[in-house]
Amino acid sequence: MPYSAEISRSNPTCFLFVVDRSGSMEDAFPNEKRRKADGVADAINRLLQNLVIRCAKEEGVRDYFNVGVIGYGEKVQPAFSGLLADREMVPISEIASMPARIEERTKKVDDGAGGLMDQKVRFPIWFDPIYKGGTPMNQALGLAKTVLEKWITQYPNGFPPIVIHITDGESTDGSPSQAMTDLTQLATSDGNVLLFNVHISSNPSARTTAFPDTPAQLPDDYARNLFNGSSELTPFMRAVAADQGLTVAEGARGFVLNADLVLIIQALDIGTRPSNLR
Amino acid sequence: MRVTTDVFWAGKHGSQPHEYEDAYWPLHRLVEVTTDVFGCAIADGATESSYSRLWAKQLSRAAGLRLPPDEAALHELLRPLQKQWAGYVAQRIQKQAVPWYVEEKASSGAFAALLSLQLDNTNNWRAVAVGDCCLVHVRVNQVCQTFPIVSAADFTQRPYLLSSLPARNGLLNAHLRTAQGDWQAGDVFLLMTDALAHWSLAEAEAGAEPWQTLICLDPDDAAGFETWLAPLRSARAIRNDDVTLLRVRVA
Repeated sequence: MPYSAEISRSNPTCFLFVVDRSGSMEDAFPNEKRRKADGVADAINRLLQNLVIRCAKEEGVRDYFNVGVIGYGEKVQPAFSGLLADREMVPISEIASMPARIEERTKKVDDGAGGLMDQKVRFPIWFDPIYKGGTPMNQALGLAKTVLEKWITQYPNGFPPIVIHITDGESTDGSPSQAMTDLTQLATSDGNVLLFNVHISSNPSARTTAFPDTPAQLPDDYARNLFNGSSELTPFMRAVAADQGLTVAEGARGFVLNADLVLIIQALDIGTRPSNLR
Repeated sequence: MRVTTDVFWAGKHGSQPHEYEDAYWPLHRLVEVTTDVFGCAIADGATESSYSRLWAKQLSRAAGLRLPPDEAALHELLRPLQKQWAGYVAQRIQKQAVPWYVEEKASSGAFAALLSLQLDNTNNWRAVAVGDCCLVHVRVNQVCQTFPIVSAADFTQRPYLLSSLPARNGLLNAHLRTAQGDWQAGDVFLLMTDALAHWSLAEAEAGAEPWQTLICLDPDDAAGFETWLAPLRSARAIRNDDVTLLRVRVA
């Protein structure tokens, strides 16, 4: 059965983030003041933090995952900040120990009396917002393919790599359809590479959408192209989604429109995850 | 009432012995006692939480010594354990200046499944469980009861578990299971953590006799247990997870 390989320290899987850093990412999210590039950087740093925490034990971080980040805009290249700059693929334990910096931020938490209060939290940064140049999506997906080909040679029986591609969808080097197909044709013995697309749309008719099984409600061709290039969620991922109260149909794609993708990170089996752990 | 227990355990293949996060009570590999009341327990610390081994040990010891028959008793049992756990972890974090992720992970608490069994000299037994550890009561090659999970299909990778953080145990009442029955001389109780329990139930559903296999394991041959387990893990008939079997014979 595909997508059933055990994820362990001797047989890890990998996440590769492919992130749009083009000039258009300077624009604000629809109905918000925040730049898309800032929102995406926050989302990636949160996802990386989430991955680290998932693998953390009292004695350190277990290398269940390797992680890479490719940025594309003025340049197409590995995009970690700090000491990890230029690294294509990094074991999660090194990610944990080498954030570029740790910022202090505030978050709203329950004050125990029915209200909310501010709490200071540490927020590690591995990835910074940059927005410059065109949107060479094909070139970026091509680099992703090269990086994953190397990884698959090293772990031919691993749980297949997961690519998380975040973009506002307007490629400047041609339609990305073929490049997405090429990427998802790479495979380990456990199945094909999984490509999940996060589309940040400024289209006023775009509605927040997570894991649809049809492109019918999507607002434009950019979104439909990304939907068509996205892999189907695995049965285990669908089961985790259902556990979390999401309605995800069979055939649902790893595609979200102006929505969060943290489910993908949580929906990988590295051992018992209590349902009362959030 | 004369009770004999023995225990078989194996850490996840590929991990270090100190990473074994199941726990059992009594602690000794082989115990033989004559008593009016006998208690035992197993616990299974969750991979996705930290300091789970400590938590599983605390739970199995406390519930093995005194079975909590209902939700109120379980909360009462948990309170001092949660304080101990938090105190120990806070001390470790303070002493060792741990990295950000260890502290962050510990703040989510530890989680473990728990199964506790008590026998008494009126020929009654009762059991309490939260999570997916399983008990099978066998009498003359026949299964009298399986508890709390009765079918292999009912196992999930996201069970509700007991947390070291009181706030995470909010739905405990909905997830606490209890069972009771009577015992006869010669009965065997098999207490298993989830990977072995899943295999056993699947085998039984396929018409095999896993209980006999488990009852016949040689208690003096710990290495033999691992030898028996290895091909089942390779064939993925048993999930690669920590495995614990606590066997209780009563006479």
